[in-house]
Amino acid sequence: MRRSLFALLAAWLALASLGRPAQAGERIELRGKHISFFSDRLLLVAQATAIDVPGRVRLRADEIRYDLRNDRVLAAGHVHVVMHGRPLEALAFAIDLHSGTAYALLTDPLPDSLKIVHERLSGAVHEAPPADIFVLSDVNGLRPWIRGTHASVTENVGVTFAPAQFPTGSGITVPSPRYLFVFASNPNYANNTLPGAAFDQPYALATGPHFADLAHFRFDAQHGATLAFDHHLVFGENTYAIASIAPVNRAAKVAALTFSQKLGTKINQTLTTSLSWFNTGFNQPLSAAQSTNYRISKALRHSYAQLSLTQSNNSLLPPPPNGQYWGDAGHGWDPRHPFSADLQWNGYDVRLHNGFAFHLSSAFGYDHDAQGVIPLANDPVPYHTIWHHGVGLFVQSPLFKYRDATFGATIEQDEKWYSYPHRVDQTSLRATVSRRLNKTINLVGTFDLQNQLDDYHARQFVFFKPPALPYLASDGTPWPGYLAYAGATTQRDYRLDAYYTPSGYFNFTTSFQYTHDFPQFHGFGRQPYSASFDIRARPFPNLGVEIGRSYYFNWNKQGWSPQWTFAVSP
Amino acid sequence: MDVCGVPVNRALAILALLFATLGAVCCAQGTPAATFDGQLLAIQNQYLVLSTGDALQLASDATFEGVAAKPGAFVRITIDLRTKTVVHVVVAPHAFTGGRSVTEIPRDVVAVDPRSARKAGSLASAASGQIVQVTIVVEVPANTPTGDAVYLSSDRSNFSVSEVRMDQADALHWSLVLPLLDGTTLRYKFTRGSYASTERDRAGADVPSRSLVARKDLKTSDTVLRWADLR
Repeated sequence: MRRSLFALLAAWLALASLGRPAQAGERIELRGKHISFFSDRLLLVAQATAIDVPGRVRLRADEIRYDLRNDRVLAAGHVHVVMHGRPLEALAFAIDLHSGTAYALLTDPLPDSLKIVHERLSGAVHEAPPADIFVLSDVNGLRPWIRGTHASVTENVGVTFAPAQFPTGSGITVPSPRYLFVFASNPNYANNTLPGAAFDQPYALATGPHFADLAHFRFDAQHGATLAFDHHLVFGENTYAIASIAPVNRAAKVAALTFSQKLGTKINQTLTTSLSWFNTGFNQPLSAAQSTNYRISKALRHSYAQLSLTQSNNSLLPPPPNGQYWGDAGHGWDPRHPFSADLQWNGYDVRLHNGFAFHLSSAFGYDHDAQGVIPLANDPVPYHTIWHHGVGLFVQSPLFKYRDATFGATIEQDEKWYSYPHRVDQTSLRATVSRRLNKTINLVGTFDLQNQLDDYHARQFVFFKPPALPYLASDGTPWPGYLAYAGATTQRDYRLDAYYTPSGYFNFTTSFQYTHDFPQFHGFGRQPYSASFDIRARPFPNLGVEIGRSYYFNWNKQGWSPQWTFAVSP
Repeated sequence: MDVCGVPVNRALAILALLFATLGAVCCAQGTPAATFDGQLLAIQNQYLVLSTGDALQLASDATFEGVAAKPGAFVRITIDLRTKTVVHVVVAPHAFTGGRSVTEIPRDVVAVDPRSARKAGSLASAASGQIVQVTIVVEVPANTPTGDAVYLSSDRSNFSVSEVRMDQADALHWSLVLPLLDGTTLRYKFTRGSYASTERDRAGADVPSRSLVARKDLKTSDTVLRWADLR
């Protein structure tokens, strides 16, 4: 356990040292009598103001506008510029911080315009500026999201206000000593490995040219309100690394490290390792497990190949005195450390002239464990290594239109064979019909059928042994029909989704689903009937809210689903 | 029939052109002032500078009316074409409508004359500040699971994976009407509500974010080639 933690830490430090930028810590400081931040435009507007781009440019002007999205600064009125130590007085000044190209309008002694390349005033030439270089975005009448007097900008990543004030429509202003807003255009700053949650609100703690630290306030039905942290290292568009821990305030925690890199345009590799453990405070963990996966994929001309290697250690703790668990039976000790390798080939979609499309796939690999791959309870033969191979075919129809309705269908067939007597056969069929009733209401109906057969040949009843006693469903009801289950399952979904969207500010979605499966009985399997609703509304121009929930019609003693979905969007 | 060796119809055309030219010159001389609408950048050193980059000399007795003349404000300027100076300025917080654009100011009036500023529509590139409805339509892979919703994830929320849920249009298409400020650049991706199910390229590698610039009635047509968790 301790060695694994140290290994994770060492790997992270190595990545962090790789990511240290040449111009680390460069922050652009903007100070003014009034600074307003318009989040929907990523625009800072400051009056009676000065901006300092360390080592490059210092500006003082009546008004400065910093377009964070395009990394451009525009200063107007009594502009005093210092570039690499040389001063310039101008009436207006615009600079693209990315390229270092600037334009200045002068009126002293005579009207003139200058183009400055690479921030070198000595090399300035008399040249007319582009037509839109001085155009100001119209913010009259718009309420800023944040007001302040000092903003510190990490280019293309984030802006910190210290202090920050949040004006509200009611005239009340909510103060905050500090607020960091992350606006990175690179989505790699946002990738994370945290588990799903009904609600996840990130709060940025720190940013730099190549990193962002975020705290996440989360809620899910299993853990309640929890706190998580993640640290992002980003090296351009092609490489990123993420370290995360969640939930910090619960006994069962997961720490994960992910490294992803594009090696050219066609090769991509990802390394993910995770450590999960259960402990309270600084007590001895009751369980600890670790898993590492390395995946590399290569794009081919009409397909791609992917190799995936996974090593797991189901327990990092020493054997417990009773040989079964530490603490209580809920923390069972598992000595297995399985390894698996999988090589896949997947074809891209092949479009036929009649509108149909298909793709093929295949896989080859093995699973290994010195303790045996299959639980001994099922098969007394200790298989240490099991090889497998498989093929798949996916076919989709074109969209057929008849009057106001649209129809589409897909079918997929997968076969997988193992080096012991076992074959898995999967068939999926889906048909979708949709119809727009009017401009605001759209209906989508779907039928989904999935069959799976686990075929163990002559050993079928080793794995699906008829119980000696009458089988009882989850609610205690006798269920003789279960005895018919011998490896073949069927799932049928009949689903109707209705979308009501009167405007971009409001949406109501409701879904009804009927499932008819085998096996399925009195709480065993999926609920036969369910209905769900989802409302998306925008009560304020800068705030969207989405709320959703499902009803199960008293399946397995449940009416409403145990969780809400809730999201707040800008 | 000829007039001084020139055919009559051609002679009449020449005369008409001559009168038209003389008339235009007389009218110009008889119209000492002209009015134009634009956006203010700064007023300094007796110059009024527009966001086109044009600097116009202010008359010593120039008059102002309306709101405070701040950068970004909209102005309706009256130019004395004989003295080539601005004699009157009306300042407003919102753009004037119906008037002539400052891009039509005679170039001999402009003290700083960036030639590129003559390009038509240079001011049209300035965002109007209005909310516009942008429709985002995406075609998803045919193996997208039934019951899974498709979400838009954008830089507005630091790419939150479940930022806005989209509406299913048919077996393959989802759409969303998004109110955005005119001129806003939106960078976005599509997800199925989790980081494990974001969109990828055909070979499973990360894809760069998409981009649009909001304008009235904009409709996109995007395609997700593959989800991260489905081959």
